[in-house]
Parts: sequence; C-alpha cells; structure tokens
Amino acid sequence: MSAWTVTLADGRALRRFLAAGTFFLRKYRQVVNDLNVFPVPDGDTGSNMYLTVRGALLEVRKAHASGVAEAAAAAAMGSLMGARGNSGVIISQMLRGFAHSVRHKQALETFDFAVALRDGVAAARAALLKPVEGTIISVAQAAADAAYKLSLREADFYHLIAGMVKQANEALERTPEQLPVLKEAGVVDSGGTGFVYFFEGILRFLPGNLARTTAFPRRPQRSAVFSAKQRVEEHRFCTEFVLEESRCDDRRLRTELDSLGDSLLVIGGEGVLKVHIHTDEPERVTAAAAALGRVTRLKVDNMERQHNVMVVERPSKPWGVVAVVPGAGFAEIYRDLGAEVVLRSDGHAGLSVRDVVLASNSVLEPVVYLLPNDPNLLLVAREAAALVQGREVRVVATRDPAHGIGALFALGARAHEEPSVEELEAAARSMVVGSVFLAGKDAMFGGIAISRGEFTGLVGSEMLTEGTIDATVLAVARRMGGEDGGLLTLYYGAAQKERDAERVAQRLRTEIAHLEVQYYYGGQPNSEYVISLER
Amino acid sequence: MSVAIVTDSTADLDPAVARELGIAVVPLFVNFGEQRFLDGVELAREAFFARMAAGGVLPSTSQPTAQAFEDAYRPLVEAKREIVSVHISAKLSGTINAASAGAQAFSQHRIECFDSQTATAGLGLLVTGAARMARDGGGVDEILAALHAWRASQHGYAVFPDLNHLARGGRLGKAKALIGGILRIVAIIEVKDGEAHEFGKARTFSRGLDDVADAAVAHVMHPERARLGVVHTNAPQIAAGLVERLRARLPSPAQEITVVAAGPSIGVHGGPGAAGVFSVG
Repeated sequence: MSAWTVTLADGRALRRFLAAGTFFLRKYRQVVNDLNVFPVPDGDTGSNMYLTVRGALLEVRKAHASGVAEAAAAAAMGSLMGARGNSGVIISQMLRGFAHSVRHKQALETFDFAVALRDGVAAARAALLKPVEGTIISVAQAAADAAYKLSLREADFYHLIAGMVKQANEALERTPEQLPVLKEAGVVDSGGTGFVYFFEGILRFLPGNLARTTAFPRRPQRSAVFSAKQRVEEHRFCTEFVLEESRCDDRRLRTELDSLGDSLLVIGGEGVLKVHIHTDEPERVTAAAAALGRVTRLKVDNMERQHNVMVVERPSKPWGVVAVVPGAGFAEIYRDLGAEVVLRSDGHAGLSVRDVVLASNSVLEPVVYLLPNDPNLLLVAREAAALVQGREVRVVATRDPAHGIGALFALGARAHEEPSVEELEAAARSMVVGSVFLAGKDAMFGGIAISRGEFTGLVGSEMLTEGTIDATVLAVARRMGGEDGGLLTLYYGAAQKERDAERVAQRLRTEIAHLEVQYYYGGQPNSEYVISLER
Repeated sequence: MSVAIVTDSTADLDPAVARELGIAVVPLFVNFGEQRFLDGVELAREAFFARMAAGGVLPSTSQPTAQAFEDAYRPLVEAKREIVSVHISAKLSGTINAASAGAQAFSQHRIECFDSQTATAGLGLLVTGAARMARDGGGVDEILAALHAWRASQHGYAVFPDLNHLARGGRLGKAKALIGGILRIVAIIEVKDGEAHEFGKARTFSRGLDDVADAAVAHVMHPERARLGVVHTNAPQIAAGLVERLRARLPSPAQEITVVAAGPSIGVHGGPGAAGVFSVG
C-alpha cells in the first residue's frame, strides 16, 4: 500500500498532472508519429500533440496558480495558442471545455474531475464539423465515461485514472473496427494513442499500488521515411521583447538564442533583459526565452513585408495572402506569385495556431486569404482565423499546394476585387491533382496491396502502383485525364533531382500526345511528386 | 465633302473594310535585320508569320516617315476634305508624331491628329466608328467629340503565350513584373492609358482566355450599344474560341463583334498565338 493518496486536485496538482502527461507524450511522441495513418506519411500527430500540451504546461507554469480554475484557464489558453495539427486543436478544445467546467472551483474531487473531462470531450465534439468515430474523440469519450462511472464511488485519483486508462486502451483497440482506413493500414488511431500516453504519464506520476503495467508503451509501427534536412533561409522576422524576472544573465540568454537567428542583441541585467533578434522562428525564440523568465512586450515584424512595402512597387489591392506550404520550392513559387507570407509546414516543430495568427497579423491589407494547402491544417487555419483581430481572415480550404496555386492564380485575375472563398475553392478544385510517394509500410488500401518502399500513386482516393517511379507518374497522369490534353505540372520533392524530373517530363511528353508538361522544384519531404493538370 | 479618316497599319483594318469606308491607311515599317518592308503592302500577314516562325533574325518595327503622312494627306487636302487622323497610342509608337509632322506641310488646312491610346482592334473600333460618322455627314468637331468619348470608355485585354516579344520590343510598359517569375505563365495585359499594364496571370492559355473574356464583359453595361473587337496573331481558332466565350458571357448580343487578324507590325510585338479583346461603349 502506498503511504499517501491524492483525493483533491488543486491548481498545483493540475500543473503536475499536465507536466507528467506532457513528459510522457514527449518521450513517446515518435511512436505516435509512426502510427499516423497510412498512406500519406506526414507522421506528425505525436509531435503536434506534445507541442500542444507543452504550450498548455508553459502557460500554467507562468500562471503560478493555486486554484484549479485559474490553472485550467491558463492551460486552455496555452494549448489554444500552441495548438498544432488536428489533434492539437481537439486537445485545446478539450482543455477549454475542462476549464469552463471548473471555472468556479479551487480544487477538484474525482467526481468534479470526471465531470470536467466529460464537458471537455463534449466541447471538442461540438467544435468539430463532423466528429469521426475511431479517433481521439472516441478514445477520450470512453475515458471520460469510465472516469464518470468510477468517480461515483472512487475518491482516489490513482484508481480513477488507472480505470480511465484501461477503458481508453480498450477503446483504442476498437478504433480499427470503427475506422476502416486504420484496419487496412493495420494500426490503431494515432491521436487516441497519444491521449492514452498522456494519461499513462499522469498515472505513473501518481502514487499508487497497482502493478505499473498497462498496454503501454507500444512498439513503433514503422520507421520514419524521410530525414529532416537542415534548411537555411534568410531570417524574416524581426523579433523584440523584454524578458522580465529572468533567471539568467545576458550572456546565458545570448548563448541560448544564438543558434535561432542573427543580429542578436541582448541588453540589460538585474532580472530585466531586452532582446532583439532576426529569426525565422520567432516562436522558438520566445519559447526558449520563456524558459528563462517572463516574456513581455513582444513585437514581431515581418521584415520581408516591410522591405516589400518600401522598395517594391506593388499593384494596390484590397487583400493579402498567407499560405502554408510543405517545401522550399513551393515557398519560392508562392512568394513569387505574390503571397505576402509563406509558412512552412515541414519544419521540425509543426505549425501552430500562433504561427498562423502572427503571419496573418503581419499582412497589411484588411482582408487575408489563408491557404492551408493541407486537409490536416484546416482546423488550425480556422482556429487561427477566429483569433485574428482587425483583419478579415478568409480560409480557402485548399487541400494541397498545387490546389493553392490554382487559387492564387484566380486571385491574381481579380486583383481589384475580393473574390469569395467559394469562387477560389472552385478555381482550386477545377485543377486535377495527384501525387506519387514512397510507401512507408506494407498495407492494403482500397483493395490494393502496397509494399513498403514501393512507389505509390494517388489520384483522389485512388491508389495505384506500377513498380518504377516513372511508370507510376505516367499511370497517375493517365488516370488524371492527361490523355485529353492540358498542362501537366510536376513539382518534384526533396528526394528527387532535377534531372529525374526532366526525364519523367520527357517521357510524359513522348507517351501522351497533346500534353504540355512543365516541372518545378517543390521540395516537399513527404512525396516524390505533386502533380497537377489544368485545362 | 465628307471628313476624311486616316489611320496607320497598326489598326489591323481588314483592307475590304478600309476600302468600303474610304479610310486611308499609312503603313509602318517591319524590319528583318537590314531588310525593310512596308507593313501589309510589301509584306503580307501570312508571309510575315511564316518568316517569324522560320526563326533567324528577329523582326522589329519602325514608324512611318512624316513624308508618308504628307503623301497620304496631299490628295485629301487637294480634294478640300478636312482630315481626322487617328493613331496608335503615343506611348507605344512615335507614329502620331510623324503624322503631325506630316500635317505641318498643310498649315492652312484642318488636320486633326488624335491619339487613340490603344492599338490594333481597339484602334480599329475608333477608326471605323469615326469613318461611319464621316460617311453619314458628321463634321470634324462631332467626330472628335465622339472619339474622345470612345477613348474614355474603351477597354482592352490581351493574353500572351510568350511575353518576350513584347518585352524585347520595349512595349511591356507597366507590365514588367509579369516576366522573370519561377512558374511559366500565360500573361494577361490590360491596355490602359495608352500602354500595357499587368492585369493577371494564368497557368494555361485557355484559362487566360476565360479571364480576358470575364474582364471585357464586366465593362459591358448595354450589349446592344457595345462594340467589341477581337484580335489574334495568326491564330484564328483561338480568336473563334474567344468570341465564343464572349457570346456565352454577354446577357444579350453585342452591337458588333469584329474579328481581326493582326498584321506584321502588331505581330512583331505580340508574337504568334496571342489574342485580345477591345471594347468601346
């Protein structure tokens, strides 16, 4: 028997729960990433979830709250600003619902905690346009329901959470039955797994007397298919802030921030430091600084934007564009086509709501068209759009960067108007898009067997494979309707070379008459080719 | 005697129409290296595009001489006809300077040189409009007033598969930003205030034609009073496609949609395969 038990959770306890869950999620985030559903290996669920709860934890630490209401509110705010990816947005909604439920409470008994969990899950469901069963929502629901039933007779948090984790695990095992795409890929849901890890972390932190074995940790289901490359870009954001209550001197802070940008200036002392840096990642800078004190008077300016305003004669128009793209080549193309701010979704930290809010704020025009270019970033984009003030942010639901280029061209043709989101989405959809990528693992998809390491084509929801990469591109082009003519554009990924793209383009021209073929560097890490067909 | 209308070969008038309306056309020069041809007179359209396609030295244009205008005006002056001379935008060509220099020879006679601030089919619309007024007995002042009104209400859009011809000839005006991008694009130009402006970009030529048709139709308030001129550089099928797009977008038939084939002097700068639409009223 343990010497003591936890029966009342106040603000400090909530902070410790959060810290324990965050720690565990951090430790196992790669396992969650690797579960991220086949076919598109954008495996970032684990990292996104970790960064989201870390955002919550940082905010709670800053709040120094003793009451649970204040701590939960801080967690909700922190996760909202740090939310990355779909799962991150769902978690932030859960924390928001939780915080609302406990808003008048100093401390929670198990029953209050369980009720707040249920309210959190309900809030997340309400925020989703169409909640899908077999995902983190189902797992969280099962956990919250189990907690509610248990809490009627169980006062000890250890037993409550142990019961929750058990039910959550069982719900997780059911996800492949609920969502066919998981079953075909032979995995359980990644977001649900992350949820279980989080509570498993809390469980292991709590003093308890049960054997410490639950179903976890799981083994990784596959290894990463690509390695992150170091990318060097010009630094675009002039970032300034004051670090108050700093727990370090200027020299230490300089060392911490030095690798994150250039033109670094750190001045002051005695607990207050003024910082100026040019960086591409203002958020990493402030996060690093936040670990050493309190960041205040933060000011982030997009220097590229300032430069453009001062130097380049631009056609006047009532709107600006913020786009999210998955590679250096796409970033260049988008800037070239006039997008005011281009964010990268392939960075190591994923993309947060905060990144998108900052980017939208740096646009000078009163209307901002936001192109997420990825179905997984749509929620993040919508969340950010709702948070931006003083500008109207219109989210154009572009599904990939080629679609986004279609929307940009449609915008360019109406430079003096404010086209509706529907018009732009129609323009994007009028373009047929496909891709070719390297399968990350063996799987069945749509009745087709695909082996790990095999080049796989994707047109809509249809997969095809032809052995070699060239033959697969050709098959994709035909499936897209290339034989009826038009302009086929290949955007080659980070793993392909220009001469490969040239060879494929030449073969397409030879084998498909009346097809104009162009190729450009996209630089995306998660596919070999993004392909678009326009007429 | 009726007022005489004079223009230059950049109006791309159909010779039959020019004859019927009695419009005098002064040709520009088209140069292939050392060789110099009178636009449309010594060098026919078909021969020009064939030669351009054959490669070799790239053609250029030069404005007519003042003497050429003097020669064109002389018989009209001798016939005691007042003259309205309507020309390509002064920002695109020095032709109108040659015209007014040519008019100096007849200082006792009324010759009005009018800058159309446009070219090709756009200029054609102004010139044929003026010629019809002259034929119906309109006086110089009446015709000039109409020309001013038309010039103020005119619009022109063109789509180019290759903007380099326009760039090489220095006719890109305010549309310079359209070249040098990463993606190969189909450029859409607006002719405004007498020169080229960037209007937009498209990925495919067909989409560019859609955009051009949308833009042109957006200015048409009363189709029954609108005159449209469609021009192409050696691409009649493209022009037909553009006319089809215009018809589909107009709520009721336009008063006039004229299709003209650009001659050598416009062809030099547009390059083959370009198309545009001009409107007045």
